[in-house]
Amino acid sequence: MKNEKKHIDRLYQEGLKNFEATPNLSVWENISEQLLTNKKQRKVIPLWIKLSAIAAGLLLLFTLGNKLFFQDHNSTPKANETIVGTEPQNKQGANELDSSLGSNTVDSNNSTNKENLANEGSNLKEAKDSSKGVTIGSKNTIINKNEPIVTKNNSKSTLNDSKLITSTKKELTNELTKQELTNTVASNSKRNKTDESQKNNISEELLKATDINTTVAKKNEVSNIKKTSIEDAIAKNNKAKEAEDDLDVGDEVTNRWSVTPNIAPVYFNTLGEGSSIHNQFVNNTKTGNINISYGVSTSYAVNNKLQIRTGIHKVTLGYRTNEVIAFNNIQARSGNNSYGNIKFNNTSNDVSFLSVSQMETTSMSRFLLDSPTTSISQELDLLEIPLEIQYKIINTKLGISAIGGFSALFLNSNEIYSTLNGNSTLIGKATNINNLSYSANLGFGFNYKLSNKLNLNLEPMFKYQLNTFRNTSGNFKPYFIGVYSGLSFRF
Amino acid sequence: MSLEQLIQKCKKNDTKAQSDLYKLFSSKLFTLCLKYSRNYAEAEDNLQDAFVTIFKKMSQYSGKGSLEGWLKRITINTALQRYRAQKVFDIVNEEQIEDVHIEVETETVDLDFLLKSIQELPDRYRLVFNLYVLDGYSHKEISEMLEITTGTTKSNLARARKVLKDKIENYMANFNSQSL
Repeated sequence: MKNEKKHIDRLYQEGLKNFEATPNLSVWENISEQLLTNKKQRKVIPLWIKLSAIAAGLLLLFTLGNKLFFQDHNSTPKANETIVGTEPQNKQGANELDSSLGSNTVDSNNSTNKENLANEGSNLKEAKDSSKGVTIGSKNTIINKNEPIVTKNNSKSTLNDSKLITSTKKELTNELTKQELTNTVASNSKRNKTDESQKNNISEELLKATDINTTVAKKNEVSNIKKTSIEDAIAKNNKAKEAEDDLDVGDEVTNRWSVTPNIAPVYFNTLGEGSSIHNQFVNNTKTGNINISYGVSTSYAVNNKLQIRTGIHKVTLGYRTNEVIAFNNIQARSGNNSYGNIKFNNTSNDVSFLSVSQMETTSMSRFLLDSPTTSISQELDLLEIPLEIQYKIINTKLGISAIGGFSALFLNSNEIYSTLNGNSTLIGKATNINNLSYSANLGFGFNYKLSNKLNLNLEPMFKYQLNTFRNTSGNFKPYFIGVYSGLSFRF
Repeated sequence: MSLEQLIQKCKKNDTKAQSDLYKLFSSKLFTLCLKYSRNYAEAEDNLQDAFVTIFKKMSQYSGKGSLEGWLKRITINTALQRYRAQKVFDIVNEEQIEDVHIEVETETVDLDFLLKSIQELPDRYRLVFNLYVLDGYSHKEISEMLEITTGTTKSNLARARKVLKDKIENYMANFNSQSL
């Protein structure tokens, strides 16, 4: 022990000569925040614009979708009306067709008009072939080739074979048979004898020879009308039949598809004690952040109980590792730009972290002990594409269903912040996050039927992340919980 | 990048340059703040205020004199602004304090203790002691900076020395009794 007298000024001058202390990281955070106050204020606005743009986009999507899909749906009753209307027309059409068929037969005798007719006939044939009307196609051949009744009988039988069972269909087939019969009469009469009356008809038709093209055109029209009305009738019949068959299914069959824009608060945390950042934070307390997930999902009803659904959601997940001391430490990481699983950005090069629990074992200046503890926030921005099955347990006005499935999670952005007193500073990004990862999803769905087309949904979901992080420390088992609410439109 | 380039970029409010400048000088200036402040937290506040002022006034830096000196002056001024308004009520007539040889018997005194003893001084004593003893300002300069008379600065300095001497002696006594 050396005892010497020293002036107090010298004692302090010498004692503090080589003293140097590094300020807490939070100081720079606050400074840069103050410097960027204006910029930050500007940053807030685009977020709102972004959100409202998404909302506007969704609104637009659904107004358009509404128009498109619901118009389609509404056209069914319209078709019914036209069919009702065309029934007498059909008769008329058949009558007209009868007469034109007659003229056709006559014309086929006329060699000069034969070519014209053949052309017209082929036109007809083309038009009719393109359609699926079996009956028309066969009739066309009748018109042109004057084939024997066997063909017509065939066509008749095909007609009978097809599902034209209902009364409308029967009427139609009756009409067709009548028409065919007259046709047969016409062709038979043409073949077997040249009747006086037929000849009169011929002369009449010959007088109309100049109008033949128009007649053919008219016939074309008529057969088109007939064709479409037959198709409509078939379509209607099929629909009616299906509706009868699946009466218990109710509106499910006609509204198999639905689209749901939804939004959810999501809470992220880990099931076990662990850290995705560094092994010294395994035992630190973690606080899960509540963020927002939003997106659109679409579902397809396999039957009245089961739905398959997918969609796209933007989801932000984050959590905080508490009780951390952040400090600028040049020596600790000379040249090394990373710490644990954090890769620092340029402005935070010499930041280092220390868990409070490790303080006692580490010889640090007591200033660090004085310094306030910060927390490390990890934020992930993911694009989620789920594939889920929804099974309806209760299917009443208020429905309850069980939901299970998987999600593919695509990493969009990944940021790590240091947070002190609510102020966050971006310090870098995590190096251990997979660009594509999966989650197992499980949840319940509650839906309230506002109308046949509109449902109000509330779905609490638990999503267990399978491989989002690599190289985690401890027992880091990340998951997130979201309560998805949305309006689903059926069509 | 030279210091000159860094200054130019800071004048243009380049974020990266500001960060670099901070990294370059934060430790030195923080040490200064620690000495001029009452505690660690206030030192951080002072450092923060100082740097905000520095970046705001960067364009006023002409390049005459060292940058470090300029930065230090702003930092000290920031601390002075915070503490000089706070009055020290001295019971003892300031003019009456005798400032003779104040010497202490020392071995190595812990650095943390030295700093703590300064921080615990009344504001004005601390400022005067720092300015005069540690940063080499004259009594005249100090009197102008603190808007007090040189008599007061001298008196404050003498009081500061006395308080510090007592503290160190106390500390030594404790230290010796502990080691016995």
